Amino acid sequence: MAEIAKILVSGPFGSGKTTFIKYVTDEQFSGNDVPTTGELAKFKAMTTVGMDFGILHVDDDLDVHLFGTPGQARFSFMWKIMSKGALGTVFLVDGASERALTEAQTMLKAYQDMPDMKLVVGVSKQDLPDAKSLNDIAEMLDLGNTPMFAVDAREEKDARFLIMALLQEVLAGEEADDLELGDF
Amino acid sequence: MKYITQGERGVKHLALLRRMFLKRMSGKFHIRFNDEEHACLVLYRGVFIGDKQNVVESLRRLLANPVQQFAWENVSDTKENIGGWIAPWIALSASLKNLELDRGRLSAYQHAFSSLPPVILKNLPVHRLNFQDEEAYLFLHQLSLGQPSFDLRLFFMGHPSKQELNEHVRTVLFVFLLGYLRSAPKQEENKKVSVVSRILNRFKTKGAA
Repeated sequence: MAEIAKILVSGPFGSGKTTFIKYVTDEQFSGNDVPTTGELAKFKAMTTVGMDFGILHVDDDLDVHLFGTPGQARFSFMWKIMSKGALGTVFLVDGASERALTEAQTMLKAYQDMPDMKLVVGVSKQDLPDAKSLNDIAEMLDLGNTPMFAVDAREEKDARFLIMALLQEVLAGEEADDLELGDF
Repeated sequence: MKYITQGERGVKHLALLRRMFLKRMSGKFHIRFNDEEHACLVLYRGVFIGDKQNVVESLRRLLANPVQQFAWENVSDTKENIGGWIAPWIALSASLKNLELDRGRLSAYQHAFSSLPPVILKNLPVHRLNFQDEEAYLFLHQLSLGQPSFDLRLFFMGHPSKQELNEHVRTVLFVFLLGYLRSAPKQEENKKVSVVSRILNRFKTKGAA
């Protein structure tokens, strides 16, 4: 049986998680798409309830499972559960949506507070005239040293770039851990 | 919050301090020197926060005295207490400046660092970091040249005087805590690194979907 690595894809409602997982995996199993209800219906006709899931076959002995966390705040209890054993999280946010950025503040903090969680942030819709600048977003989200990139959620190469950036973060973290005085 | 207790020559608190910087941790580092004296350093994402003089003083005490107990308190809102930001290299170079370590500390540090597995030294722009012991650093740098890894015992050999030993120990403390000393690559990479490297290769060579 192949070894399994796990990566999370998170972000507020409508941030492009489903598309992202479609681009970077070989097989995708989307959660149930249901018509959006209430206030959010004006932003998006259908939304994912539950979670997205995709598999990337790396080689004969290794698969990567990508889990898209539910974007709705009422599913926040699942974020921590799903993070268990994950290599890291790709966090997506719509940079032109005040609502999404406000939601992202709370969501991102939840991930930042998880011990040893590696994060990269992808900001979409930077080409729109009312989009906030990356600097403003970094400040608003209190990103500190978390890497952030402007991406086009419709571009497969951008999705792959974000995953690679996350993996580089994981490697950098491992390197930092390699010399301990713990044996004394 | 659970305190870790160590002996007179224990230096495990240094490993934790290094980890705080490199892992960009947020929280409070509690240190007990003995039953009466204690200190607390506050960090936000690996950077000290508070009054610079207080941070430097606390670090000097931590480096110059045996630490009996220490504990890490995870606090995510330490940013609220901001008095000022002090980068680790600023705080360390200031606290190591002219720091005279007694024989007990020198011996404990020398023993601890000499027991490390072979290390590599990353290039350090020492002149830009306001670090005082440039000569000792250059000697360390010289040792690292031309060989993939080296043993820190070499750095402490040659019976240097107490003053020289002081400079050598301060130098190793500086490069170790800031992460400029790394362990030499092992024959077998750790499992996580191997997994991540294979995934990266998959993306680099074939593309994903």
